[in-house]
Amino acid sequence: MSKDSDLIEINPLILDEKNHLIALDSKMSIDSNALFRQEDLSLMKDPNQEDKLEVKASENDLSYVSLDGEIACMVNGAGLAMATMDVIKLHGGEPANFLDVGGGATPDRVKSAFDIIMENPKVKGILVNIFGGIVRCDVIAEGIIAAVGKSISMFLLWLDWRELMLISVRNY
Amino acid sequence: MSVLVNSSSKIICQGITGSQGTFHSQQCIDYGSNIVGGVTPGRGGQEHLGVPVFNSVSEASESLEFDVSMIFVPPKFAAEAIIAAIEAEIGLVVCITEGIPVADMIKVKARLKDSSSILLGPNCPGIITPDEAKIGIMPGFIHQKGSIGIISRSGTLTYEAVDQTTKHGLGQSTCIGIGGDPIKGINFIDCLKLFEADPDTQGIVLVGEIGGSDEEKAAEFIKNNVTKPVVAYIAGVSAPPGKRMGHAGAIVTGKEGTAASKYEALQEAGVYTVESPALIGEKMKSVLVG
Repeated sequence: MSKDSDLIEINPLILDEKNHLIALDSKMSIDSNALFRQEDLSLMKDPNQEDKLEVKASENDLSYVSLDGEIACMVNGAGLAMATMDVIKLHGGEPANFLDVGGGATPDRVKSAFDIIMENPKVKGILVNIFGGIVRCDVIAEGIIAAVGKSISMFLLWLDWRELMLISVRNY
Repeated sequence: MSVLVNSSSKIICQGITGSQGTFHSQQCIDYGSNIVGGVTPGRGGQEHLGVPVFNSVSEASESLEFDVSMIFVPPKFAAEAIIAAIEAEIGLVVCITEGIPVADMIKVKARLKDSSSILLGPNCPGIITPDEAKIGIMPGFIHQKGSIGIISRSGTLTYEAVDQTTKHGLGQSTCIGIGGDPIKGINFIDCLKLFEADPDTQGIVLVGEIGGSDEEKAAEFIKNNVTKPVVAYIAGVSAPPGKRMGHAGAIVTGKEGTAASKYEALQEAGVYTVESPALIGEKMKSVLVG
């Protein structure tokens, strides 16, 4: 409890000749929400052990999970992000990622979301699904323009094999 | 009628002077919610958004009457804020904050036991009774007073369900976002009980997601106790096992917490399930109106 651990697994645990229990290996997972008060454990974090894009996303306050499909998505809200993946699958596609830009999305954050998506070579198209209201759609649009504007020559070069298929706001 | 909150709810905001607290309290006031005061340690005696600010909840309760607290306190201090609200015996405590450590929430749950408070959240959009009180971060304008009770673990999917029930002319009695954390306050069953007893609620939308077994427990409860039609959608059919999908509680561990198991339990309980979130409103309309 004092280490904010949410899982400890000891395997194997052996009994030696003198009847002493010895833990030969163990794995421990720490509640990421509590890392602010576990400084010694935070220092042990090795980003090389994690998915490169997931690390980059977390540095930009984005919630991102790499998947194996071809249709990337950028969504606000974890539930809607999962639902968007489900809808892609339901219609015969395969999602390339889970990405929640969060409630406080800024143009910069949206732009970095696009950069991360575009680093995945499997991506053939991007589905943007934003429920406007509190998140301002003009902020999202600014981020998209910033991302596309900057890499427009790249898109042109890639058009033959990587098409920027779809930017559809709220349209399954 | 409605559940938990209505036009006579008197609300304070813990964390009212922060950027999120300020923005969303103003939105709630604009919607017509009766926010009577706020709490920010060290800012007592000031006025913010036209209401008095106090150093603590107990100080606020000496000069004001209120029955709801809306919490926008950063995750480090949020558990303390919830406990202060419980100690002040506030009837409904709505915690919006995302990212509270699990160990802190275990302490909160212990304090909640045998208390007179109901906790909603944390990591939730809040609760709204259309045209009466908005307590949280949902966009107010998509709601319409009506007959559907909505319960959801996800914020934006609640808005989807709201938007669709509004567009199909059904409207909402009350919408409750119970939040995406594994350890939280009220759950599906508590809300189902409230909606079943509410004469203005004719149908219930339940939006679940992968992780844990709350939807399975809700299904068991519905089978034996709920007479009103329930439409359900579960997010995360396509989520890979062992990966946390945004919400702390949204993770499939081994065989537990899969969307398939939740759908199966709900269908077995007679719940109308939809495989796409785009069909929630349509399904409810066809069940109620034919």
